[in-house]
Amino acid sequence: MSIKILSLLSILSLFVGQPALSKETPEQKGLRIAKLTRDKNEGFKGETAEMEMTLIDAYNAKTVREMTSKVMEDDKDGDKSLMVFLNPKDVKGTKMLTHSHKDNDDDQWLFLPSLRRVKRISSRNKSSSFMGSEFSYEDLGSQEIEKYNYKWIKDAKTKAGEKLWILERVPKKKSGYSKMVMYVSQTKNNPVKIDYFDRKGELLKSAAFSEYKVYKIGSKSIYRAHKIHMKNVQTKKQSIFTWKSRKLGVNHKDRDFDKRSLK
Amino acid sequence: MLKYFFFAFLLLAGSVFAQDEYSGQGQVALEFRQFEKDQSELTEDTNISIFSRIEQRYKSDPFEHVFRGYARVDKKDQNRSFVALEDAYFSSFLAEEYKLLAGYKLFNWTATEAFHPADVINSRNFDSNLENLEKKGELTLEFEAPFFDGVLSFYYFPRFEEPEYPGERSRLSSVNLERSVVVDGTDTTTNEYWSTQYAIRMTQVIFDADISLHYLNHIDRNMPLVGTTNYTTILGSLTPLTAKATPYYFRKTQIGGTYQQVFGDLILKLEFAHRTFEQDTKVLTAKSAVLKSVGAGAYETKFIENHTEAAFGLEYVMSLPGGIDANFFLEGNGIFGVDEVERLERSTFQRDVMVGFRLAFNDVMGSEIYATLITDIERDSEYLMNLKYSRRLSDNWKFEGGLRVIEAPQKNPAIKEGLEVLDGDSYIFSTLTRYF
Repeated sequence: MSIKILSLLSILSLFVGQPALSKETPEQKGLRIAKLTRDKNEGFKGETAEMEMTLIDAYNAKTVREMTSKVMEDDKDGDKSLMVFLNPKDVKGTKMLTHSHKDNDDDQWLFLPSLRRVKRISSRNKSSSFMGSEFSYEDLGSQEIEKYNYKWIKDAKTKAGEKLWILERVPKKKSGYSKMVMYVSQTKNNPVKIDYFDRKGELLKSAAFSEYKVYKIGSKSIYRAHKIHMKNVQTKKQSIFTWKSRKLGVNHKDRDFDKRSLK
Repeated sequence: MLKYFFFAFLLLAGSVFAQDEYSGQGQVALEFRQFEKDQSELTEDTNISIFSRIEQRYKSDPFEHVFRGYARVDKKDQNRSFVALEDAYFSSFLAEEYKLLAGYKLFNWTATEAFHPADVINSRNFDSNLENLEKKGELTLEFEAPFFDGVLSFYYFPRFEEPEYPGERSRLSSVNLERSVVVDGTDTTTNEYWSTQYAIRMTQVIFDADISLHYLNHIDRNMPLVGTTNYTTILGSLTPLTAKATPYYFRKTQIGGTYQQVFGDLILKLEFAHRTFEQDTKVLTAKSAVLKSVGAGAYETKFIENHTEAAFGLEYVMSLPGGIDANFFLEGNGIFGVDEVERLERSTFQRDVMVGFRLAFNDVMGSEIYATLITDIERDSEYLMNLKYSRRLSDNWKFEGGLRVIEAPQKNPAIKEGLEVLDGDSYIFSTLTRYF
């Protein structure tokens, strides 16, 4: 008897639950997916990496930039990161410290090695080019979901059959973009492609995320792309960001991310 | 002798953990300066020099060892040739959060671009750009401890480091000075540079603001009295008994600080310093042009008067089409608590305003234009303009070129004061640098 009642309740709950899901607006669904992907990517503790960025101009001439980075996860607020530039040589030793925040503008400091000066900088202008590349500081900075409005557009599949969510993301505050369209892998919980639209609403550039590797941190599996290929459709220039080495689950110290770490 | 022990200590410290993280870098630059022609055969209108800087850093947490220094050799003006240590220190974290450092160190306590009242620790090379003079490292023992959202630092500086002056053949205020003398108490006869100096500094990050406060007791490096203590009175007039002038550096106490806050695209910067000088000794100096009109005699005896110097700055950041970053600067400074004569003698920038901009094109070659105009708002027709263009030629080579225009017509034919000393010393410059 009791089994029958439970079965009946289960069946009823399906009918009760279904209308609730179907009432979810595209905005709510977009935000839910964004939160889901955030949760899946949290828990990495800390990260160290050596990166290389290849700049390719419209005539296919190439230039290489090199840098290292450290990231420390912060459960209460945005992550903290320290980037050190290694090449070109005239900026070698320049460091950028970022304390990102979920709701407010990030705090940023720049260390200028020739002057031994730590300079507070405004993080508001994120749309400028990162080291002459097709990436902007906004593309590489913190992507806290509180800073965007999300909208689910549709589900799709890659040519290889990988299931995707297609989301539209609109910045809440000042940005170089009017919107971004993200193609998010449902298995990796990370984007495989992002289209960036300029302030006029025209397609500006497109980033392809590939060479994903999975990292085991405790019981979690976290995916990270090791290559981002950005193509500017307006200037025909390209930039390829690659990770030469990367470690997740690193236990950084707080002092690695305070102003003292810059000197 | 202590110095040699110290270097030996640094070398040993470096070798202990040379197996760990190591980084090295440097630069060699060919520098060229061409001044507008003057009528003097005694000065060099052209400077051609080789500048080199090397930096090595060993790190093995919690230890770190840093060495950095530079040298310049000028083909035309031998007095411009010198070697300076910037950093040569060994540091270690103790119990994770506390840091101990010993060695030569370059400090930068400023918040502004052009005026730096709080940034006074290191001695300068006065044959470089007035608004950002090259520095020499300071022998330092430092203890650093976390303090709320910042750091509390204690410093001991055992030695006065003598500033570098332009030589007799330099166009930038050519002077022929005796060795610097430290005025500590009433003793002005000794050339002893070992002296107890100390400071405490607190830095804090509070929301969007960076705040620093310091208390410093040291031998001043930037405001010497140039004259002599070897003088007599002849027929009621003060008369020096030596033809050569000596820079006298006085012990001073400074309370100062900086404040920087971000308001969206705008950064507000404030910087101040209140200075109290040792006043037991007076130095015979040439009278100010202003005083000459009212009093008899060419000389007077004086000490440095206590005063406050403050600077403010605004920096506005904006992105222009094409990924160009533009930074606009507005800064001003003033010396308060003393009269115009004293202000003028204390600093070239005694009441000035700076406007400027930096355009960073963010292209592959890192092209950049930087321009500033500093105008004296107290004295007529005095300004300093700086225009610089820089561009990478490759990953290792960089070119810089530009001009500096200095206009400060002499107001009293008897004596040049403040920026007047540099009137007519405008020049163009270019630098080709190879980084490694």
